[in-house]
Amino acid sequence: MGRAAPGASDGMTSPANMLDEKCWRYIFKFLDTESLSKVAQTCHKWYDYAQFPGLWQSVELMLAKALVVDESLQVLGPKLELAKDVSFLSCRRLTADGLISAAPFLKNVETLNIGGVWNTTDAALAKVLVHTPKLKSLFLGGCHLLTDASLVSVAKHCPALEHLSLRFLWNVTPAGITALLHALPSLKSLDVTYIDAVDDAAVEAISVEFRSVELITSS
Amino acid sequence: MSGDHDMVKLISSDGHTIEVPEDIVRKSQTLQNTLDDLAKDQLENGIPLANVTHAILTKVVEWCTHHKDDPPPPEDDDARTRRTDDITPWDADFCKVEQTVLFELILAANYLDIKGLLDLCCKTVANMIKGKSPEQIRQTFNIKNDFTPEEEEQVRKENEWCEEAGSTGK
Repeated sequence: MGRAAPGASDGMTSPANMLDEKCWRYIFKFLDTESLSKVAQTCHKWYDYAQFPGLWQSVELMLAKALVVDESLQVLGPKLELAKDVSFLSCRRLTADGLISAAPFLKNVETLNIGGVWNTTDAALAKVLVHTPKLKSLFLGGCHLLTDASLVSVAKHCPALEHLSLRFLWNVTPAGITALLHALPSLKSLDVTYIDAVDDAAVEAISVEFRSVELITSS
Repeated sequence: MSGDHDMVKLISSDGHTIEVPEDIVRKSQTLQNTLDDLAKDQLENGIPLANVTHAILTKVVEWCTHHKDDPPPPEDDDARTRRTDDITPWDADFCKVEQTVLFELILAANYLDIKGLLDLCCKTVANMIKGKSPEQIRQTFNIKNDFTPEEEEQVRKENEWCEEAGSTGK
């Protein structure tokens, strides 16, 4: 990494000019998604630096406070193409259609968190999972519209899945979970916390039948 | 061979020579390679460091000395290891310097290839950015806003997906 010439022609007299693009990218690597977007809004140079694909491997959309609405995803979409780790956690204003529109950009995603995106339907999730063949971890906690039909989609479209969270999915049944585990031998852990139908007896039966899976339960 | 076998002479860009224990010098991957590549008698006159001033070299040696028993930092740079809240009080104190000194340290740590020091300084700068608005970031680093009002609005819209509700007056 060299140094920028003193008094560089862009008029920035800032000490920030001491560091070149590579240095700044290394610094920006330590920023969360929100801070990175603020950096992009400071000046042309940092706008360009912030576009570097390597900085967008892990994208965390902000919590319920965010204005994450469907239009935002149209702008954000291309950045998600390089992301391995995407979290829509608690983006409650995201609609099922909005989620579907983002799906084509998620082809490299290995960890997907749509926990608390409570507009998610079985049909929407099925359309999303078609685009995410590399998925290893999937968090669906709190998407309470989802039923066993979604477990069928997961089994069908996520052959590499290792970790799945179904917390608070009230409509999921032990039968659905058993079918999923039969279909997905690669699964290592399954969170079934706060699912009413999956009681102690059901947990016991599942853990006896599928010893290789770590079941995460409330008890 | 004069003096202690375990001491290495380092010559800063402004011509000062300091003697540093070899195990401290080896915290720098760059200097480790130099030590391994050169014969002892070639090191006699000291290793010139074209890009590091005496003041910065002294700071670097101070850091390496404090951290001499640390295990080597992990190589993998998973995106998930981006945490910046793991700075020890000693390190935080070490980084309480003027911005230009902090940037000089980054350049030196990069040139000398001392990953632990590079990460520390870069995390410190990252922490100066976190939680700030674009205007506050500009003020922190004395950066000129070179966007036209139209461009600024466009860029703001592009980044709307992570705006806090209400903060944009929308």
